[in-house]
Amino acid sequence: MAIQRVRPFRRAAVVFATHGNELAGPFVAMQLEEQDRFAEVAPSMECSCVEANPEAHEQRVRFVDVDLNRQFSAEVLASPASPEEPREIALAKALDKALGPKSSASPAQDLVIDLHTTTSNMGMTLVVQDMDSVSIGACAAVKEELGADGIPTRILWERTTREESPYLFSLGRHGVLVEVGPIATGIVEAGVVADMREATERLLEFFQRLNDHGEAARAAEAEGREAPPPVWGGGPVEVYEDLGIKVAPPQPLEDDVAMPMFHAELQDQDWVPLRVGQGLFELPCGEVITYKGEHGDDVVPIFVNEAGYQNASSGVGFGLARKTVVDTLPVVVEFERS
Amino acid sequence: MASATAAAGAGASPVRLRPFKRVAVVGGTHGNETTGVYALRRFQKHPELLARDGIDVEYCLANPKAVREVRRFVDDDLNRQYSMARLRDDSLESYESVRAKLIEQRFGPKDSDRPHADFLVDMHTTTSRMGITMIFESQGVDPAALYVAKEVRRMLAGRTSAPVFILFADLERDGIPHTPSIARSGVAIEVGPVAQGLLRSDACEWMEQAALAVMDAIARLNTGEATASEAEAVPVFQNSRVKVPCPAGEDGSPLAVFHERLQDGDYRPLRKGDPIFRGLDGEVIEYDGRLGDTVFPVFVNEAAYYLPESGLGFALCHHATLPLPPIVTAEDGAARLSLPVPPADDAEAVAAAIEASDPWEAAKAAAATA
Repeated sequence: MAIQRVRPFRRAAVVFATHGNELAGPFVAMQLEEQDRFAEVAPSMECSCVEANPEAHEQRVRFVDVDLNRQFSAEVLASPASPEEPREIALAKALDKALGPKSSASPAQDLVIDLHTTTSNMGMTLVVQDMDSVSIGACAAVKEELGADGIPTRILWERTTREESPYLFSLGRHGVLVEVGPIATGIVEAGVVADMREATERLLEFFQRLNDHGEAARAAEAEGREAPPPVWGGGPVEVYEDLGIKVAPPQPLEDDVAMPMFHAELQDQDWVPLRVGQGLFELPCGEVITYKGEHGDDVVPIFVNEAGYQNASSGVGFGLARKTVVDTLPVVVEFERS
Repeated sequence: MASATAAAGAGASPVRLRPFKRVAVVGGTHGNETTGVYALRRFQKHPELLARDGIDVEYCLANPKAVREVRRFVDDDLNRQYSMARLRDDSLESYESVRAKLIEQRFGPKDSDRPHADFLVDMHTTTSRMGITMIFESQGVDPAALYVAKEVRRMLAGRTSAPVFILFADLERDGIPHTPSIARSGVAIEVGPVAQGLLRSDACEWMEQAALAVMDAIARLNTGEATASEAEAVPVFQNSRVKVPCPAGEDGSPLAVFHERLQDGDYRPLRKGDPIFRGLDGEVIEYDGRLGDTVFPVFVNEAAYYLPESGLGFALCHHATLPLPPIVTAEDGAARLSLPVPPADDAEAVAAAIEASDPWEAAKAAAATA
């Protein structure tokens, strides 16, 4: 049976303030460091906290020039440097050097966890990309654990390769984006902080268990015993596939107001299948835009009324996803033979 | 909370005020409180919504640059620029201090008995769970503002899914830094919880309902009849302006979260020893009783109050019952009046009433059956 064999996870980065007004990430990172949690949950990993966009964080804005979390595709990273280039593109290149490079199969960070919040009613969402059994398996395992702890969790799968991905969490060898909502920007909130921290620790623990299993398997082999079963045995994982479609009302909307009025029938209804006739937006003139069924009857809205989605850089409108099943391989950490 | 009628000492003889013929409606004082901007533009496009006989309505987008950038402010909080000291300080150069002077020129002057605007309504939102809060601040009790606030509460009772609260502050007028203080009288409508920078249809509905009710109330003030209103005793929360800041680092980063028992607890009793914050380690920080053993918090977890420029922390209130005399409007009436502020109500009695009935549940239930 095919197995995904990976090198040990030696270095992990917990990234925060990728969007400067999402304050739960910085708070959780501070907690993890001050309480020395890394030594506790991931003793064989070198974990660091990285503030991605300090300038935006200081100003409490999502970004200064362009959305940092759209600048990590190989194409953008390879663009020639110039004094006029937007700050976040220069920043993305610097982060690529520090955490990646993305172009390498052995980047500096084996694991990148990027912490985010959303104003949308999406609850706990773990975002993964690519056909990566490691990160998908990790999220599947953590989803079970969080669910058992009273934190219902969904996995959002981005069907993009590591190379094409515009997201910061694609810099490491493997990555997960932790997205928690709903919460306004510019504040921290007890439940959001607790859940985000729980998810981050569970993820780190999972990768630690992968390392531990690798050690145990190596020891077993040396002693001629059978290796213990893999931490992630593979198999189908239920995810929501991001369809890469944005649904927005016709532009322009209204002087001075870039955000559309989400219809009351759609507000807070993330993850609930769209129904034909469901109100989506209300235009200033009173006209209601409804769902016509053009994307099928099994699509769910995501990022409904996300405050950041009102500019071209981040993308305008809400997203669509569809429940699907992704097949994963068992994952085993293999140490170099001495 | 229902108003008591004709409580003892409510001052049954009417007071005389000049009519309120020119009303200024302001949105976008904070550029990321998008609900207020949306409401303003909607009212401008549909003037019939706020039009009332004998009243001229003027509209103002207070902070266009901050609105364009979807930020609370560009240089300084505009809603802190309207004290007389700042309005008359020509050395101030920030974008907002300049805007404030322009707006005061348009609707004031603040130190005149005949400012251009008789009444000013400033539309705001908050990330705090404050429902529809009618804010008025005056030196002593401004009966016109109190009348408008209590009428909004009366008119919206059972017709909106958010409870209506009245938040009053007794402040020396020259020092009031907020927009409504530049007209003869005024209120702020503060709607929440809603995140900044977006539009929720429920918050927009609350804002619109409140603004329309404000106009109805002003129109009634202007009818000039002695029986326009009966004497009433109006329950309000009185903002002591004592704030409790959240522990923060030198760079302003929060070092604690609002405790889950205080989160969303605006207008609910807070007693000495109750938890208010959780530090990084999870350790509980308690209310120390600084304003009294039982108080009422407002602006709990308001995003702006993480910023020093806007004032740090949540605020503590007493509960008071303000006497409102009948109001007659006539050309020989006063520009504004300053009625005595009574002592605070017994907080525990008020607390018990609040704990017996959740105003949010009541509002939702009433709106559902309407």
